[in-house]
This record gives sequence, structure tokens and C-alpha cells, in this order.
Amino acid sequence: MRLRIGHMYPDLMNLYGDRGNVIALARRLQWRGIEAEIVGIAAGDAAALGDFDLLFMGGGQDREQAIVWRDLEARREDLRRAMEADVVLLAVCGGYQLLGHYYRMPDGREIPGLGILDLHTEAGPTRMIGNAACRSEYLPEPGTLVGFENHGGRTYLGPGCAPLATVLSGHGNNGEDGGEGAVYRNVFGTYLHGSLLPKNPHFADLLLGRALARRGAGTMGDPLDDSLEWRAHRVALGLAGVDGREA
Amino acid sequence: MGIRARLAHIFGKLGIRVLRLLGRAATTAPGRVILAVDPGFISRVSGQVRHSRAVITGTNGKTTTAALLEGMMAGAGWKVVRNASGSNMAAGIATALVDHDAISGCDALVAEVDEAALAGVAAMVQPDLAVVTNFFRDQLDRYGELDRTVDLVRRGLERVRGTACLNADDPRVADLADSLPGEVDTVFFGLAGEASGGERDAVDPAAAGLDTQFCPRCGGRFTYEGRVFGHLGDYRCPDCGWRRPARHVVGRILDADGAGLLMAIDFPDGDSLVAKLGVPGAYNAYNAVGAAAAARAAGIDGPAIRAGLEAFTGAFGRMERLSLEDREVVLALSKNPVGFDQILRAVADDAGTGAVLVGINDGHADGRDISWLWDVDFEMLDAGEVPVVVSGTRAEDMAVRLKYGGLDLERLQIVGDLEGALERAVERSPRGARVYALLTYTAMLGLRERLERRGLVGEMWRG
Repeated sequence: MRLRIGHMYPDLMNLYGDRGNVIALARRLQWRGIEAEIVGIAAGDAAALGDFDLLFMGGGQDREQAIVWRDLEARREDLRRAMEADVVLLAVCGGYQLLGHYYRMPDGREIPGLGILDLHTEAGPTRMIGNAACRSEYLPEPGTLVGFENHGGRTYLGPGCAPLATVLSGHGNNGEDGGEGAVYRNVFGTYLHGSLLPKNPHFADLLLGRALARRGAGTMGDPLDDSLEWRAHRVALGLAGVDGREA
Repeated sequence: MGIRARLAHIFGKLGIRVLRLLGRAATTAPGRVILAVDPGFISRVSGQVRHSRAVITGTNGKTTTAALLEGMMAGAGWKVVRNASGSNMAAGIATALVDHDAISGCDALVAEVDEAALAGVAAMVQPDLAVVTNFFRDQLDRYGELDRTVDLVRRGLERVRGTACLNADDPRVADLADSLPGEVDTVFFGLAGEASGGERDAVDPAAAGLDTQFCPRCGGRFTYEGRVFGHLGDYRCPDCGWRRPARHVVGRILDADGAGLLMAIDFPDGDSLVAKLGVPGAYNAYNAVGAAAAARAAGIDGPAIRAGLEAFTGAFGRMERLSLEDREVVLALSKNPVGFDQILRAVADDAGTGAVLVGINDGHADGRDISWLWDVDFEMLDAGEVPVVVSGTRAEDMAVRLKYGGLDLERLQIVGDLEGALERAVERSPRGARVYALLTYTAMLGLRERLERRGLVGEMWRG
């Protein structure tokens, strides 16, 4: 078995240690004896997104995201087909916002998005910054996700997708409705970085498990020794003001 | 000097004495008192400085560049006031002015200034000399994106008269030249050729995830004739043709080892000097050439510049050396990916490395967001067998980073308390070897304070 992981715009969308997520996915496959092929997809690269098992996109600075947007527009239909074929996608922060219908600027102008997730984002007056924790029904025990959020946009979900998690501490999608992130089929969006996957090994395995299942692999084999990862997870819960036992 | 400034000086002096009797470093709090008593204190006292009022800003290298410049000026016999502790906003500068009795006169003020504080500080100091070192991504939770930091510095430089020394090898710094006030002289400095590269440098710049990849003038993607490290090098924009400006002061690394550098510096008048620098790494070569450019602009002659370079053994917490149980401990402030990579390169290249301590805190001054750890090439530690001890408030995150970087877990140990972690690293290192302590800002302050109490390092406010 060999999984192909596409890292979208590793040079441009790398604001918050995003490559840590790809490192985590690759290592966890390697530790299970499954081969991982990591392919960087840069603007202008000819790449059929449907040929990947798993795609990752992080966040970038405004300047970089404008370039990414021009490239993504040309890939819209390819990406949509891949999503409908249940290719697994994780998008963090800026990448998450780009998957929605639009981003509304403070002056009311709307920058169109890919429209792959039924959500939109509005610029807010302040940035939402800090350690954050939430609980997700998609995850096995303990069900908590920990990370750091830093976003000015407020994201609102439509009926076509569901929140990934419920906020325990922090702001989540918009600071109002208690939701964090979004899920549609095998597409996951979130504001949490940190990097996210290394200290949320259950979420990393959820993504890998779905990618493997899609390829007909029944099981991921013996569980890994994640004691170090869970120590970091518990420290992050504490920093977000959440007691691990209560969560 | 008016009664108000004198009063502020006396209050500040008292505050410093009391805090130091209590064993505190007293670098910022007295300054707040001073500025409360006399908000105009900094501008009044800097107005009396005889020769030069210098501000040093940029992401990395502020403290070392300022310390080198101070040494060069001292080599010329000047009395220099510098905020040596790295407390680099207005309160830290006010404290330094009082601590060094600038009120009774001095020849130069050398102030390292936080990028975000530059405009405010420059309005008070009225600098006639400025150095901008580089712009790297740093503490995104605090400063926001790089574009914002560059704008803050641009605004601060509007207050400068005299000379601005700009790192020509960093496109975002070089680009500042065009927005300087008309009467300001620009001195571009940089390094010749390519230094020995890290893993980042071996790859195509387009895929290296450089902090700056695009032309600030037209948005085109830079190509490089050569890179020293990160995005510093000989860049050119293929779209609009803008390229690295011609440099006036150029450094060349002639020889390098784990302990230091032998370098040559060429000045525009054909003058040049060769000096030994007691700190390693291409990033310190940049600091040396930036300080030399500033010293020359202030009228310091070659022999004094050389003396300043050779007398330097490391600023507070920047490759600062101390002896502990027959090991040499090297304290290295490591606060953002590019700076960290440069230090890891030095650690990996040093055959005398016996153990490594990595201390990661997430206080406000460190940046509360530690996701940048994933942008550091800790994989450089994988080769070899030296033990690695991790510590600080984010020790566990750091341990996970090393695990995913491929470090053999047998080599890894978590010790939450920084002093205990250093002791552990020293124990696990062979005698006579070097123990590197790579620390974020508050981890450095915390550990250093403990070491001061044990008399192992000098007091930080003396720099």
C-alpha cells in the first residue's frame, strides 16, 4: 500500500507551521509500514487532484493568497470532482476560507471562493488569537482537538456542511455560534494550527483511515505509541483553560 | 537640563537600585517611572548626546549589531549608552539612559528598537543613524504579517536624519531606501558570495518556503544568483528588472569554525580590514558588517572598528559562553525559524558538541503561538548521537517536534524546569565538550537569572 499526499502550495500557504501537518501524516504512515509519497503542488503545476488520496492546504499571507487564488480558480472543477470522489482534504485557516463561497472585505467587496464548502467568511473588526480547544463527534475518545487560532475572518456555515467540532475554549468559526471548522464528505476545514495534527494524533489517524478505507484497506494495524503526543495534547488543553478530565 | 528631567533621573535611579537589591534585572519597570515623571525625558537627554544617536531595528541581529557598534565606538574612546539587556521599547531605552547617567553627557546612544516601537522611539531619540538588519517572519500572533512589520519600520525611518544603513541582501530592507526622507544618505551593506548552506539552501528557492519570495515593487517572483541563507542574497525580479542594489560595505567570510569567523570587510573608499569575530555563523557576519557600516558612517576609523569586532565575545544570551562542571555552556537565543536554523547549523557543524538543551516558552515576549517550531529544520540534530533535553512551558510540543523530525527517542529527555534541564544536559555531556542551550526569549531570561544568582554569568544589564 502506498498513499499519495498532495501538499498544495507548500511555498505560499505555509504561514503557521503548516508543513507540520504533512510531516505528521507522512510519519504516521511510515511508522505503520505504509509508504507515503508527498507531492508539492505549486501554482502552475500540472496535477490531477483526483490522483491523490489526501490533499492538504494551509494558510498564507494576503499577498500569497492572491496568487494562490488565481491558480485555484483554474483547478476548481478538478478539485470539485476529487471531493465528490471522496479524496480526503484538510484545509487550515486561509485554505479553509478559500473553500467557501466568498470572503467579504470590510468595505463590503466580496472576493469569490471555490464554493466547495457551503460557507462564507466576513472580515471582522478584531483578530481572534489564542490557544483553543474544542470537542468533535467525529473523533474517538477523548474527542478533543487542541491548537492555536489567529484569524480576522468570521466564518458562517450553511446547511450544506456541518461543524467539525464544538468550541470548549477560544473563538471557533465566528465567536458566536460555538462551532469550529467544517466537514463535508471527506473535506475538513479548520482554523486550528499549532501544528494541528502532531498533537491531535486521533485526527491525523481519522484522515489517514478515511484515505485508506477509500482504497479498500480495512484496518490501519496496531495502534502507535502516542504517549508523547497525548502529553503535548494535555498541556495544550491546560493552556486553553480546559481540564482534560472535564473535556 | 530642567528640573523635571533631573527628578525623573533620580526616581529612575532609585527604582533601578531597589529592584537590583531585590535581585531583579530592572530593565523596563524603572523606565516606565522615568517616562511617567518626564514624558520628554528621552528626547531631552538624547538631545545632549555629543556625536551619534543610533537606532538598530529588524527581526534578527538587533542586540548583536548594537553590541558590536558599541564596541567599535568604545574602541574610538567614546562613552556609549546602550540598552544592553535587549529591553527595546521606550521604557527600556529610558532605563538605559538613567542607568548609564546619560544626563551628565555621553558621546553616543546606541538603541536597539523593537520594529513596532520604532516610530515612537525615533520621534523621541531623533536618530542621526539607523541600521535595518533583516525582515523574517516572527511572532505572528504579536506583529501580524510581515507586510505590517515592514510598514511600521518604514514609518519609523521617516524620523531619521543623517545615514540609514540597509541590508541590501534582504529585498524588503533594500526597498526601504526609496521611502527614506530625501536628505538621508543610504549605505547598503551585505555579504559576498554564498556561505555554507543549510538544507534549506540546497533546494530551489521557489520550493524553499522563503519568507520573502516576491518583488515588493511589482509582485514578480525573485530569482537568485546566489543565496547566503533564507531569502538573503543576490535576488533579481525577472518581471520589472529590480535587483539587489550595489553595496557600499561588503563582508566576506574567509574562514569559519564552531567558535567563530575570520572575515574581511571592504569599505567604499577602498579601505578594508580583516578581523576575527568570536561568534560563529553567517548571520553574525551580517551583524558585523551592518555594525561596521554604521560605525564608519559615524566617523569611526578602521582600527577602532577592528578592535570592536575582535573584542566581542557574544551579547547577552547570543552565543554567550560560560563554564559549568568542566563543560562549556553556550547560551543561544533562538526565537524564529531562520535564526534557529542558523544556530542549529552551527551546533551540527561543531564537532565539540556534547549535548543540546532546547527550551521553548510561550510567553507574550516569545510569541504565544509555537507553530513556528514546525518551520525549523530540527532534522539537523538527527545525525550524531548527542543527547537532547527539552524544557520550558512547551517542552512537550518540542519533544513531539523532535520525534516527528526523526530523532531517536533514546536521545530525548523532557525536564520541565529549565535549570534542572541544563544540569541534566551537562551531566549527559562528556567533560570538556560544549553544551548548547537554545532558548526562546523568556526561557533565556529565566535561566540566565538563575545562573546569575549562582555567579556563573554576569548581570544582564551590563550586557
